[in-house]
Amino acid sequence: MDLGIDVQHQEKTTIVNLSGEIDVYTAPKFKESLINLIEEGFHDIVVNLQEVTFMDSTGLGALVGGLKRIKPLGGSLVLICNQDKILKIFEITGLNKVFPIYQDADQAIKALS
Amino acid sequence: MNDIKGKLVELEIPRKAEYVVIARLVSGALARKMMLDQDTVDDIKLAISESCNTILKSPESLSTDKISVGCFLSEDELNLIIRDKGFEPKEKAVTKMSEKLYSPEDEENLRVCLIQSLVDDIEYLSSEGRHYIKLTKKASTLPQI
Repeated sequence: MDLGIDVQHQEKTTIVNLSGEIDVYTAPKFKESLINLIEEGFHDIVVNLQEVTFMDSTGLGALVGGLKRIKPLGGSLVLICNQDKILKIFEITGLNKVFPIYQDADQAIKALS
Repeated sequence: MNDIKGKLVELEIPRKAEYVVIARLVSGALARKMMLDQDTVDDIKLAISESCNTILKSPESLSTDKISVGCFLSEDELNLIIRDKGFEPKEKAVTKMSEKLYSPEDEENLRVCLIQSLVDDIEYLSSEGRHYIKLTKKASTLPQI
């Protein structure tokens, strides 16, 4: 299963819409996209997980890697997720306390502005 | 539980990242055949995926080029066995997958944390680059539809 990555720039916010599965095979592609965005100067990033059908620790690792890069630059990385099966892995690992997670795009963008 | 009890169903996949999805698809189909509810199906797929990741992320020394993923359902429990093909542990497998202090910044920690929360028991042995992981869910913790 491939991973779809669609990037939208809205004023000061960049939204990364993901679809499909984030696993050991597709996570590197996602990680590279995040790193590229940060290096290009986009430091307020919303990652939309609403269309993600599976995610494991490799996806979490890519997000953590992005956050570690963006924080020292004064940026933010927040998530959109309302799927219980994806939220569950953030709760199990405690990363729900690390990443702000919102139910929809409006809430996420409002939080960053 | 139903009529697929007592038989080991085993899949071999190449030891490559792009094939882990096949292990998830097959284990998910088996779990549905076992009439388990969707949450449990998702847990099993995640546990299988994380176990495959454990093997893939380790250095390849004496490991084979294939990973075996097996499911065995008995009256009392569901066993998931993920290992380098043909690797049978000679000693009782240790249960601790990681001795490190938990840190969510460490992907290995995240992997172990997830596996431990998804199943009731873990047996794990790593020897000379080969891995054997046996995950167990007790029948009492397998909600069915």
